[in-house]
Amino acid sequence: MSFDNELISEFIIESLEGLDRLDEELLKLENNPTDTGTINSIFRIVHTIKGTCGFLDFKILESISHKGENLLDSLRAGRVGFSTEIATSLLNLGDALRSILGTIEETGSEGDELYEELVNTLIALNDPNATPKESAQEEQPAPQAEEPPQEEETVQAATQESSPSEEHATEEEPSPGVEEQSEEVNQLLADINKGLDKHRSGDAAVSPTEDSADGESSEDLLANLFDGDASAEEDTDESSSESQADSTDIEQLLAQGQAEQATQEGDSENESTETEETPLEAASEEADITNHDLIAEVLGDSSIPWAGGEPETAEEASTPQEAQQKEVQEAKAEQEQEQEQEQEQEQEQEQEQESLSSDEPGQQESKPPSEEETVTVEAKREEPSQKEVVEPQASAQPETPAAQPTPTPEPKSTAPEPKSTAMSQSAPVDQAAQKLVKSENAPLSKSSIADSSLRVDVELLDSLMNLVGELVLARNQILQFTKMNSETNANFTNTCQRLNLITSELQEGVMKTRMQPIANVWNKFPRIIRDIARACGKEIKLEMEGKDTDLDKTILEAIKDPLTHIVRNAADHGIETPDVREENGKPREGTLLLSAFHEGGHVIIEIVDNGAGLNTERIKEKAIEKGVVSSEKAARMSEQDLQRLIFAPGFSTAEQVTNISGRGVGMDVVRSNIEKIGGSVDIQSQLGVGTTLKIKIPLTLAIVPALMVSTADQRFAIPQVSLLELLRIEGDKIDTQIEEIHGSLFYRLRGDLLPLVYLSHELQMEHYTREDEQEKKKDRAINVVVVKADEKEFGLVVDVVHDTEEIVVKPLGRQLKNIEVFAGATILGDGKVALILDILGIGKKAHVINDVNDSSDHTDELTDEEHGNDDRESLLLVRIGESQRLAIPLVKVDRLEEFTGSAIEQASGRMVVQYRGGILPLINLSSFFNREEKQQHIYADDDLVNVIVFRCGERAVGFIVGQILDIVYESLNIQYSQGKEGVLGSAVVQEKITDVLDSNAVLQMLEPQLLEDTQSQHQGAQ
Amino acid sequence: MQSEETVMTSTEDSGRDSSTHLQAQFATFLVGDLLFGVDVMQVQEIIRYQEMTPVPQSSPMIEGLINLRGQIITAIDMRRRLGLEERDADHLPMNVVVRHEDEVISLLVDEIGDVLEVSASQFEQTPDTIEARSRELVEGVYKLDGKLLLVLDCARATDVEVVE
Repeated sequence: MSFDNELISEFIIESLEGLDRLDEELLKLENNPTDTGTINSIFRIVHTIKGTCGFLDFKILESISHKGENLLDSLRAGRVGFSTEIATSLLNLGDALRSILGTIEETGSEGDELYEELVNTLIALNDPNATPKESAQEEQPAPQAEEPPQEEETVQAATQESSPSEEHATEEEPSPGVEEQSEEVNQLLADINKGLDKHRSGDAAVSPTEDSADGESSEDLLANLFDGDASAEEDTDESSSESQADSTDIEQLLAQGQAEQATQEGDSENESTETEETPLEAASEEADITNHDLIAEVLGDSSIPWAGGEPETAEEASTPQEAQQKEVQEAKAEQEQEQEQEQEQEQEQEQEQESLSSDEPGQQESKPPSEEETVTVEAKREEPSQKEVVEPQASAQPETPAAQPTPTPEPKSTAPEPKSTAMSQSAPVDQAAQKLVKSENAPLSKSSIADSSLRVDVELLDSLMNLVGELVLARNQILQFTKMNSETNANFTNTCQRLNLITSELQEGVMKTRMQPIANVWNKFPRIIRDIARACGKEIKLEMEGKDTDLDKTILEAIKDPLTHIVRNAADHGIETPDVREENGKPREGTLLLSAFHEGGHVIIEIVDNGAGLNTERIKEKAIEKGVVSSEKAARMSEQDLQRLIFAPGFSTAEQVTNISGRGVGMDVVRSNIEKIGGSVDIQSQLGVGTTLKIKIPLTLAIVPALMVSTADQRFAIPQVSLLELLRIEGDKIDTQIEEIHGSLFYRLRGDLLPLVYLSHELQMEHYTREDEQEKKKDRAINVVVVKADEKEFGLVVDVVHDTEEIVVKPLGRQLKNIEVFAGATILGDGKVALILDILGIGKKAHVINDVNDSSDHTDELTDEEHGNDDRESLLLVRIGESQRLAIPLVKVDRLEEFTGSAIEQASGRMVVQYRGGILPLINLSSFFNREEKQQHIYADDDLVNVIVFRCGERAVGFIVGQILDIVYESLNIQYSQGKEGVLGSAVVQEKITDVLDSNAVLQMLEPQLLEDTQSQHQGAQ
Repeated sequence: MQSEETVMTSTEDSGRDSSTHLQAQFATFLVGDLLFGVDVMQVQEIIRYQEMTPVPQSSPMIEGLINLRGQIITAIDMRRRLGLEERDADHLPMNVVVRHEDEVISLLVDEIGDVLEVSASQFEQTPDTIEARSRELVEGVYKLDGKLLLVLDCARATDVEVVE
């Protein structure tokens, strides 16, 4: 067999979707094992896959899914009780099917893997006694309308041996598709009937005898019509064809009734182990439909108004039908009429069959099946003569269907034929048949569920997105143009405004096409949680809120892995075992809550667990042990900072590395992945209470809001995500609040030192000179854009700050890719190109952000100055006394202050200064190193004293230094250590010998109480 | 062919060689006094000088970025690329927009020449006498009457990153 690749890929897509549903349903079933609806739904999924792959000749796939289907069938019938083993093996089945489908997708064949173990498990789990039903099932291909290709169905129908159980299976599995289709068919039939009816009523030569045939059943209607026409043209033929039609009708009718009867029998046979209601219900439903269908047809035919007939649409549809029929009639030679009748009948049969084999539970009232059936038959038989009777004359012939034991299979096996035979007929008939087939199919495809949505190539959407981006730019240009030319006439302005609106809406619409609910990612979590819970012996309840929150597809892809990792971590590390939980007075079952919602152009995803929470002490130990952070720094870190350490590279606190998580790669990757798409992640945790992870991600990547700035007459875009605030420093504040240390500038922003970076300097723009900057600083205000990258804030000094704009990010060419300070380029409203700044890159270039490990997720807080891989670091160079140069790692420096001599006071023989509402003890480093008696250097009132403020946990201490020389970014290579107190050793910095301060030692000597708070190992460090 | 020869006086006679079987068409341009050719199929379009957005920190060979109907294109100054002296400030270069593989790039050249049809018989390996910096960007030469047409190796010419 050769098949379209399209067919196969469609099969793969549908099957994968089905398998995703399978996982969901299985987990649902685990919670509620008695829910037959869920079992049926699972069965249907597997069944569909099996049926389709049988048709596509995927043997392994078919056999495996078949085993699963058998098991499910036993489950459904109640022969096998539901157990976790079954659930696991069925989940494994899903995985196996997925992997085979994957192989098919890649190679086109199923591969060699036979999954014997799985198959054996599935067989073992199945009740071995349950054979008879299974054999019936085995032959059953999937007749559902769910199968995508139409021919497939037909072929299957043709090759199958129809059996009662099969009929039953179909009945039992109402699926939206089937329902929809049956409804369609229903409607269609009504339409056709109505059309025909109209046509005929317009015909003068309607004879009373026709009326008797008229109402009988749908398959006759076309025949009747033709009869009618024939009679109009050739009266002599009328009676003969009439009687012919009649007899056929009755036969059909009987066959139909038989089918129903047989089904019922099948039900009771096969479902004997099941509860009584189910088969009965199924049968009654089925009978209802039949009844309803037929009545609708009959009524439609006899023009009695009936709500179910949906006359409006029927009328609409009738016109073309009519026209077609007329054409056909005209073109047709007389002798072809008989053939045609047959065809029509057969087609009708087929339709009937379709509607029969489907389910419409919503539309009927339940009545005892036997009565229903009778009613159906009654109605059909009685209608012709009485016409207005719809209500049952229940008494009459229930035996009639039963009396004819054979015909059941007949309609099935003939059903597929007519299409092909019709095609092979002589031309006009052929056309007619085709037309009919078309008219059947057209409305079908119009509104069935499968067709209300389209699969669109993502590439196409991407290119659409690009085009819309262009349109947005063009729109911006036009808007700008209209603004500049204010005299342009009002019409033009109006048009522009409309263009503006339409473009915005279009942009939104196209963005929406790429949006997918986050449920697409979340849906696999129940399975993951279940597996983890089982593997770790935990009880975990997973709750989800805001499943429908939409996200751009690319973003969804990007957060898939990080989210999975977080959820795994939460389940594996976060939530305790039931016993532990009980001990701690928590419910045995842990809860993991996923919630997603929109907030100001971002999507917030929260993963909340009520587990053990983060143990910051353990994090601290681990971090120190792994060299992620130095002990002294760890001691200074706040609770929040310690918690954030879990995002540090190579960090994992899990005592026991499970196969689920805890390999030490993880949260750092999570963070960098999320930051890569412009998102951020934060953690809040309370020991013993739980942990909340908050992820903030942008809605889309293609169009981002950005702040436009200018420097040296060139415009740049700063993505809004890295933007914190805008500052304008004017007049005196420039002098008082900006510290300058050899070109490195710091601004005191609410008490913290904010490094300032001149954009023009970093970009080495031609206009830049040091003097210019000095001038700017002196003369007028400077604009500072406070940005944040990699958890580090700095101020970017620019000439002008413009508006924010929505910009379309375009990549830079190959030649410019290696420039780290640019993230891309965009086209502005005036058509000019502007570069988009990469804040992280600029920070690194300016050495504001340490570039350790070549990874973006390493803040300098995590840099260990003593053992860092890349030991380059920012050093503050100061002069002590006359000539001693001292280097102090900048990370230890909290602030640089300048006090006047008058501010320095004495307290218990020590120099102190009032500082930020507290007392700051001062240590004169010059005195310390030069062994002066006491550091009682007396400062004149207007002396300026440079003080470096160190922070030790909650307290601070100030070192008085002679002069602040510079801040350098160099590697500290301590070459010579003379054992001098307070000095780690000497190194060459800026080609000069420089001592490196050992702040701990100094503090220990002079301010031991300061260190009391901190750990003992900390004190022993030197 | 004849009618197209308006700018390049030095190539007047080239059209007469078109009787040979193996022919190729080259869009030609002048950089300094060198005549370069790029296979016409590689040339997307030729546009006048546009205002550029300079890219700080990039190679000096990169003049800047231009907006070509919504597409952002890097422009490479061929004079700097070839190590020639700067062109006069009042002489605006032309953009030869070439497509190479998936990349679209603009070459800034002094003047645009004709599309020339040359035959394989005129082809020769790049002579050693051509200045080294230029030679590495040249795939080969076509001997025209009184003039050499240097075939530009687009891949190398646009590979600015490597050169740096």
